[in-house]
Amino acid sequence: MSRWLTTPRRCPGLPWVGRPIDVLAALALLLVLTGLTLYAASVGSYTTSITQLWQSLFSAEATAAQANVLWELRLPRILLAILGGAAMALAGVLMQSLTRNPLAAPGLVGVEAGASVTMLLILVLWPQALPLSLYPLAALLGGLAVALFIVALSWRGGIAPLRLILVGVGLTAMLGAVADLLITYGNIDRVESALMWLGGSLHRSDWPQVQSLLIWLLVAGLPLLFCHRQLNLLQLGEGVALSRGLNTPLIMLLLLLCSVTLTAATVANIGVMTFVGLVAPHLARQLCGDRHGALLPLSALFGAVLVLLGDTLGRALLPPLQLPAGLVVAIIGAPYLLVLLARQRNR
Amino acid sequence: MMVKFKALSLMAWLLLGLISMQAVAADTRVFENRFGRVEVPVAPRCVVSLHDLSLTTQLLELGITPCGSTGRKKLFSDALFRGAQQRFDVSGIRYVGSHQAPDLEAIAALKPDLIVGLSYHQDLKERLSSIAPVVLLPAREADIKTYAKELAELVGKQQRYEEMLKEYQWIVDEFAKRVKAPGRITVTTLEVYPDGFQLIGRSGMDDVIADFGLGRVAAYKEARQNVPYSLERIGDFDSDFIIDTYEEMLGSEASTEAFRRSPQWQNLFAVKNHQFLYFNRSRFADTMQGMIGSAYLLLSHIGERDYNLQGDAAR
Repeated sequence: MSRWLTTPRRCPGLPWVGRPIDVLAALALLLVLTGLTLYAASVGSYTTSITQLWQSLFSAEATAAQANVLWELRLPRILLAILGGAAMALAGVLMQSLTRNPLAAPGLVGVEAGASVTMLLILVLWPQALPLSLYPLAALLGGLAVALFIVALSWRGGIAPLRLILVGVGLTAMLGAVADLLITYGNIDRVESALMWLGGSLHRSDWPQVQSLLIWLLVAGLPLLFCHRQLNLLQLGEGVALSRGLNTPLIMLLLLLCSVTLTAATVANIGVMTFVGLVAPHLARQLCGDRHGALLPLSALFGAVLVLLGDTLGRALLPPLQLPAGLVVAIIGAPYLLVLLARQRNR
Repeated sequence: MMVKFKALSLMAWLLLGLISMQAVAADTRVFENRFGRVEVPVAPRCVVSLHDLSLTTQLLELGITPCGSTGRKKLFSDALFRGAQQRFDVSGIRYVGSHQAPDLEAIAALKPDLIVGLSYHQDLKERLSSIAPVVLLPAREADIKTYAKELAELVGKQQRYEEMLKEYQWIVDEFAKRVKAPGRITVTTLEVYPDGFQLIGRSGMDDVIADFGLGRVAAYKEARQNVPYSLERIGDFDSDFIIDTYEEMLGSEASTEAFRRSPQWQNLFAVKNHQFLYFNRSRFADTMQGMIGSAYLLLSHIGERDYNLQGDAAR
């Protein structure tokens, strides 16, 4: 039975070859995600029964207030959590695979720091400079600019993982100092608002943000699902990948761009959630190892579950006090990371 | 005959429609301020406030008990409405989250007909507007008298506001009677922390100082608010009177005790002349009665005692 589950086989009627166990894992995660979504849609400070939830979703019998709570307050938040978690998880897989370092996180190339400093500059120094609707775009551009700067600084005929990590760590520390400076000298109300945003919170979610993140996920995330062979080759080392005909500098640059774009888009819309990009790939690896054909979708599903769980717990634990989703995910993820580090040390 | 009947029926329906529209229109009106125009109820039944220390407390002082308010909450303790808790019965006010992250569902559950907030709630305004009309007030951008007047106008309590304004004006006049040249007296409002200080005047104290005509030292006039200064610079702000505040919730008095025993602090003119005033930070809110409380404090501590001035000591 176990051999049947782990033996790659062609899916009937489909051009893909896969292992039944990966499909089962994906289905199980989808089931968990669906259940969590329904739970998240039904829980909140505005009490709704399952009947009222059903009416709000599928019939016109719900009151305007119930429909407003579900469609304008809860659903954007739930969808943004799912999309943001999936995007950060995919970005995390890419960073760990490109650097061949299991402790690499999406923020390694300064995207989170760049987006954070951009948002702080706008929120603290020039709050009237841009309309609210352009804030996510500004954060995205800031994150991308910093990431590209780091790539340019570490480029030597190609991307060298160690150089990328070192330059990324250094520039992230510098940007962290700039962020601290803005927080120290900024107006206290604006700083509080910025800190709330930086903590990774979904309480300001709305449909334009869902739309924006969905587009970026489709543009930079969906193509990744078809790059699993290239990622598998890169795990064998650049020399081996090159000998198998892979244009490693170009592929690594494109994959890095995808990771940076996904991270910047997520940070721009929901703030910093470093742990998701670090932890979700490891959770997925427990099921499928380093096989990127399964690792990518499973990581995305784990990321979506983690962020949705974090946000749902954050608003359901002590209502109406809302704990930032990033904080709850970190509380859940930190013990797992410690266990992982302990295992790494014992090997 | 039939045509006449139809014409009469049509007129009757039109008349009924006009009367209904009139009735609906009379229940609402347009409120306008620097943040825009909003159609608001004439007599709001359930007001939700998005800031406890200013808006919630000010509503209570005007005689309106909000049905919901943001507040302060430590993880496993009850919510606290700062500035209002100790003075009013707040049992009927539902806690709706923190002022930076209010729970929109909790607000929707209250079915309010008016929501009041501050300028930094601008990005929530659109979504809150689907629950109830939202009015932002300039509590951060203008003085207390301005925003309190707008709030009173919003909830139909102008008379109460005028009463408080009259009392405040009386205190200003009393001070002017007792202190002939207030500009000669310099006052610095600050908050000392273990690692620095900021120039902050709580409970409308800066408004009162300006209305009383009291002076400021040169460094204060050139300084920036809400910037953490090093304790080394405290001597630059030495004035005839220094006003600091302590926050019981944070234990700030104990944490700054060591600095207040230091020679740097003890050598300040205000401290040497027993003209250092130490007030409770949350006793008076950022409201009209908070300002009145601060005004009475200054009337007593400056207007009704002997004091020494740096200018006189220098001669």
